[in-house]
Amino acid sequence: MKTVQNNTIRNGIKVALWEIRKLVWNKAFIISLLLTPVIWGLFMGLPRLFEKIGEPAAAPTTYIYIVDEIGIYESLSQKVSDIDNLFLRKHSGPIDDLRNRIEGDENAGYVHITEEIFETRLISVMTGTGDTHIPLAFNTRLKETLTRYELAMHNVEAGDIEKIVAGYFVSVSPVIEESVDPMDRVRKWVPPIFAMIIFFMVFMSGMTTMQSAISDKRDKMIEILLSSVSASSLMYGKIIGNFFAGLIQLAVYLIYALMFIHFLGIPGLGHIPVHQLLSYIISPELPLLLFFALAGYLLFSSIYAGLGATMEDVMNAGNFQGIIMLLPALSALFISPVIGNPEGIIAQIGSYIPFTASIVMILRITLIDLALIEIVIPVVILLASTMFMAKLAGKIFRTGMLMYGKEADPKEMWKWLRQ
Amino acid sequence: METLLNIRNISKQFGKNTVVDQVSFDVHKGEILGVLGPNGAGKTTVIRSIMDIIRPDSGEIRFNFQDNNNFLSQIGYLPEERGLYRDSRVTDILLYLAQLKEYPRDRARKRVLEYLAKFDLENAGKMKIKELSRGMAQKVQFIGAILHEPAILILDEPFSGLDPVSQDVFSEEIRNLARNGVAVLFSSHQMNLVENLCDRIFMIHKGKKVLYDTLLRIKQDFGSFKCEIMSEENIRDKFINFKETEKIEQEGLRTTIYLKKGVEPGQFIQKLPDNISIEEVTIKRDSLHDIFVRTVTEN
Ligand SMILES: Nc1ncnc2c1ncn2[C@@H]1O[C@H](COP(=O)(O)OP(=O)(O)OP(=O)(O)O)[C@@H](O)[C@H]1O
Ligand SMILES: [Mg+2]
Repeated sequence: MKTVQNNTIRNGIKVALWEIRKLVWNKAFIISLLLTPVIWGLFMGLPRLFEKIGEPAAAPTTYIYIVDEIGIYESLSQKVSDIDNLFLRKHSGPIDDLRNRIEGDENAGYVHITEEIFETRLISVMTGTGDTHIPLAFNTRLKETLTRYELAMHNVEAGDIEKIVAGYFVSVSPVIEESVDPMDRVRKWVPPIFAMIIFFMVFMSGMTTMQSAISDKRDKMIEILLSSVSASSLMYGKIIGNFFAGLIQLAVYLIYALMFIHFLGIPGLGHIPVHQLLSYIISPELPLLLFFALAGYLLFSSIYAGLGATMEDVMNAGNFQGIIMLLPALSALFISPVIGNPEGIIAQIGSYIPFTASIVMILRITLIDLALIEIVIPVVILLASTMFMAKLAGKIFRTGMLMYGKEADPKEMWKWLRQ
Repeated sequence: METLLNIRNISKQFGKNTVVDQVSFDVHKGEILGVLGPNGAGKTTVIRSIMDIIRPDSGEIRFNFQDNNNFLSQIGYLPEERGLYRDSRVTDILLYLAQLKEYPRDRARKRVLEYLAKFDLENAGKMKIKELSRGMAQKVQFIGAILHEPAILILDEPFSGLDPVSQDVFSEEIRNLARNGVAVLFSSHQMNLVENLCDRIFMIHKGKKVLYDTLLRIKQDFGSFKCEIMSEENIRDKFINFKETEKIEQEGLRTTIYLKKGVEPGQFIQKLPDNISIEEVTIKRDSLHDIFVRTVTEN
């Protein structure tokens, strides 16, 4: 008996290695891995590219002449140097010459800066035509520069000038939120995002497991395989193999994502060192999160393996198979309500349904502190139903795989289960 | 004689149809046993039962290997449903199959090369299965069945779809294996091949045994003689009143006179009329084909 079990495990591992190789060691997979960052880059670069393509006609280079009577030209020209398509020129001659020169020129304008400005508080930018485009940023920078000048005139110290010009930042936050460190928000979301990615990947692996069962049937491999290994070795080998293939894929994407964050930062939060991010993943909740991700994976891939065995191909899945295939999507319905209210009735129900428990619990664990009993019950339910489903799938798998050219209907499957 | 496989009284019903009915036979070490029968006779059902792919309703199937622990790796199997992973490469699949059978990898590698060469597939090792012709894929599958040096080889219709040259290569290899002590069981309805290859025959019809003996004994017991005469005349009528004849067939210049059971060729030759022109005359026993057809139509 012992050797038989050893064999089951050893053969399962062989099957798993073959599955991994089949998935990972092929051109399509490798190309997709290499191409992914390029595609990401395109997606992120494309909108900007479109902006650029759409702009040039609307934003030609504008020349602004400065008639400077107070001596701020240098500092102003420095301030505006980063504004695209804008050039400053100093003008020192009669104003009328200048007016004549730019009149009718769509790309030109001038500003006459005199001491008077500090009284009137009005700055007039004169333009060549009614359509001349003066970038908004120019106006802001001009105001800033004049303010600095004015403050300096009143003998305010340089450091204070910066503070005053920078103005105030108003933040709104509830009283209980003690921490203002934005990194805490990152820390809170890293584990659930990590676990959700794993769950998503295992969902994909479930699909490839099903595909693999179907292709064994389609390629008429099954009798040959079953003349060498038991049906359960074959099924678990497939489940494990596809899991690791998915994990390899995940690892590559994760490295891409970390590199992306490392070099470009997170939008709104700026640069975050990778080692810091990694240290957030290793949280006390991680083992529990991994348990829910893994158990969810086993549950679904058992279902998918069993399902694959009953189908000729995915396209022709019967109604019954179609419904079962969509079970994991049930989880998606829970995400938003659970995030909205992690202690609400929907969240609680979701924790007790095996098909949704994984996602719901991953969210709840990271969002709130759950009482022990609220964790234990879902763990037990999920574990029990996963084991039950694995057994069930094992039964369906063997019979289903050996049925050629026949689709199994629910009645038929019920018969197999009772064998 | 060492018996590697005992089959005792297996029966299988599909719905109300009894497809296999109380079938029993043995397969010995070093022999080639042919399971013969017309389409739908139950050959594949018997073979799938042996392979534990179908569970028979009753009866017993027993393998007797020295090492019964790992008995799957001592069986080689070519199923009726032909196929291999379409997108995988020939060598990869063969090595995988050998690995599943616990066969050492380096030996497997060596044997893959040997057999690919033997079956005229030297350049196919790196090809994908979907790039092979049907017959080529069948050869690969056959190699997969024998690569791990099984003690017993079970082949369901190994010759179907092969050209005559490949049929000979397969036959030769099967004979080789048997000579080296492998027990071979194969099913077929191609009588010429069976006649040249088998030591013993199990003939099945509508799920029941109809014949089970050595080829020689079957021919002795069931094969009456037949006389083929090539003649330009129509000689059929001259034999119609012979009490020794069972039936007469005419096809172009050839007239075949089937003799009744027990009639000796000598007796018949003496009675040949002398007023007929004969180009050529041969006397031989019924072929297995004749026995097969007769047995099947009689039942
Ligand atoms: N899965 C099945 N369900 C129902 N009937 C089946 C099934 N498999 C085989 N049969 C029936 O069993 C009978 C024997 O089939 P089997 O495949 O064993 O014949 P065979 O001798 O191998 O024929 P062939 O020479 O055509 O391969 C046939 O009448 C067939 O219809
Ligand atoms: Mg058959």
